[in-house]
Amino acid sequence: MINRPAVATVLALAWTTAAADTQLLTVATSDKQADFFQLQSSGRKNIAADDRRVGLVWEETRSGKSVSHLAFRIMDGEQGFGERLTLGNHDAFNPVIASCAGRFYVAWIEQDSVRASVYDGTAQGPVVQVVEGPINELSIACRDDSALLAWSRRAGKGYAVEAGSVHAQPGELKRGPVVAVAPTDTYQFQTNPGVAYAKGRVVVTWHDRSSGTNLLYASSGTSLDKLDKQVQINELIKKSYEWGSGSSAVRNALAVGKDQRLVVVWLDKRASRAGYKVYSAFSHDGGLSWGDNYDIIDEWGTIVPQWTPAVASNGGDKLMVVWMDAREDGNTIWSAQLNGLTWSANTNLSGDAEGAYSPVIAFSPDGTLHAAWIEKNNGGSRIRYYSTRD
Amino acid sequence: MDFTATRLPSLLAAIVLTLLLPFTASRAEPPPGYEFLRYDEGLVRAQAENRPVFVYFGRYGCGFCDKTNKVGFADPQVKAAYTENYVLVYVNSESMDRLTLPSGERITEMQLGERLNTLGTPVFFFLEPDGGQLLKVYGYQGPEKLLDMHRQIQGRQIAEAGIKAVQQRQ
Repeated sequence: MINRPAVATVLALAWTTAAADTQLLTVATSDKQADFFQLQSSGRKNIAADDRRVGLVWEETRSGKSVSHLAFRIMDGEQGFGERLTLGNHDAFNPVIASCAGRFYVAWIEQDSVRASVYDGTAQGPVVQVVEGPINELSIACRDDSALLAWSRRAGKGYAVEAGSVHAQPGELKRGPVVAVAPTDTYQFQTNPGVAYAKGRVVVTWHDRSSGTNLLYASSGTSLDKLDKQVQINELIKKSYEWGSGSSAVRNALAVGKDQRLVVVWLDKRASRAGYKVYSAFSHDGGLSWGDNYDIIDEWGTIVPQWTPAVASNGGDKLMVVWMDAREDGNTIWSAQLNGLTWSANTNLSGDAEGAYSPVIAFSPDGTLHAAWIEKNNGGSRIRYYSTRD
Repeated sequence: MDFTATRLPSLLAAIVLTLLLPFTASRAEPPPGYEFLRYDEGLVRAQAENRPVFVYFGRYGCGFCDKTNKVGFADPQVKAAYTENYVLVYVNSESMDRLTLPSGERITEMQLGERLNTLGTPVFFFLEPDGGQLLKVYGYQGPEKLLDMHRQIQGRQIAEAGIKAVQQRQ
């Protein structure tokens, strides 16, 4: 699998001539420079969709304090997102969402602890505290009709990644046991967890810098309490024999594609110049082993750093990666699709929007793409939502 | 007492640990012997003390950060100039620890790098006490370069103070 960007066809989406199946909506907006929106979570799990609904979670400060919200859009009409629901009662951040067998699970960090709830599309279920803090980051994925959660806990001067689960039952949300994914004596700085379920195996990805630089690992097993020894995913490029420890890999995001093939994307600091590049690796055996690392960035993007990669699939032919970079001066959302065995040329997803950043994506089972990002410029800030079906 | 059986393993362990120390210490954290603050804490202190800010964007594993620490910041003149004249700030450019900006927005240290469009590490910023950018420099900085930058900032501050004094007299 190689990236062939020789002829990089940069396609700006023609918003004015968009097809009926394409929508560009504003989910939330403010013209005050002091108001902020965040689409920030470990693994970039702020959006999820099923065959008729899409759910979006975000953090914002319009009320004067930091609050996390959830909103749904029903796809069989042309209306936008419905009423905002507030997650938690206190300062809440890092909200995540997953669509699992007809339910939407949401989780967030509130008062340093992980809290979760479930929505069946009409009403909110109970809120449970999954684990007490101090928690720094949180991610989510589905395992059949349950939700898997993985988080990074502050532990002394370091961090430890742990995982757990929640399962909705009539009138209650049951918590599963919490496990550590790797030994903290060897790996003292476990951060940025991703989580997925593929080929009958639970997979947790995470970074650790105990070796001297951030490396990307996967712990996987048939269940959370049966995780095998972690394997390293990224190739370490030693840049100097005298100074430093080599390239780093950070901010991973996970998805499950066709034939339950896992794909992980991350920011890789192996290039000598122009910052981070988005790299990818695949696993065909539920996270036990990972293949070579592939660069997703085409030649036009090599001159600038990339940020905030996210990845999603419909479990079939659709597999897309999005990120932000400023190759055309202003911050823009870019994407690449996996076409067979190669990554496509990079395509502009946010059109001529000014100051777009922090993209997140999801696919409906039918292949409809749902993307959201933040725009911040002199006119204020807003969360934009874009959907298309080709 | 069987010396080889009881003492040798611990002696070997001590030797191995001693040999490893320079490597475990070479991870490009902020240089030792300096008081580096978090970005948000540094900006608050700079305003309170009306002092310029020196911001160091580093990364664990970064070779040029490591070299700048061990060559540039190890110089006694550099240490004196920087500790006496600046509020020192270190940003771990790969950290997801959250900072509160003067605007009230909370972002991670890595997001701060994204906002400031840092192309790599190390990156050094000199900021006004109110956060305005004075100078941005990329890459390895040896003692001479660090002292040159310091003289540049000091010269600019003296010139600006002179202009201000003239304006006030007028």
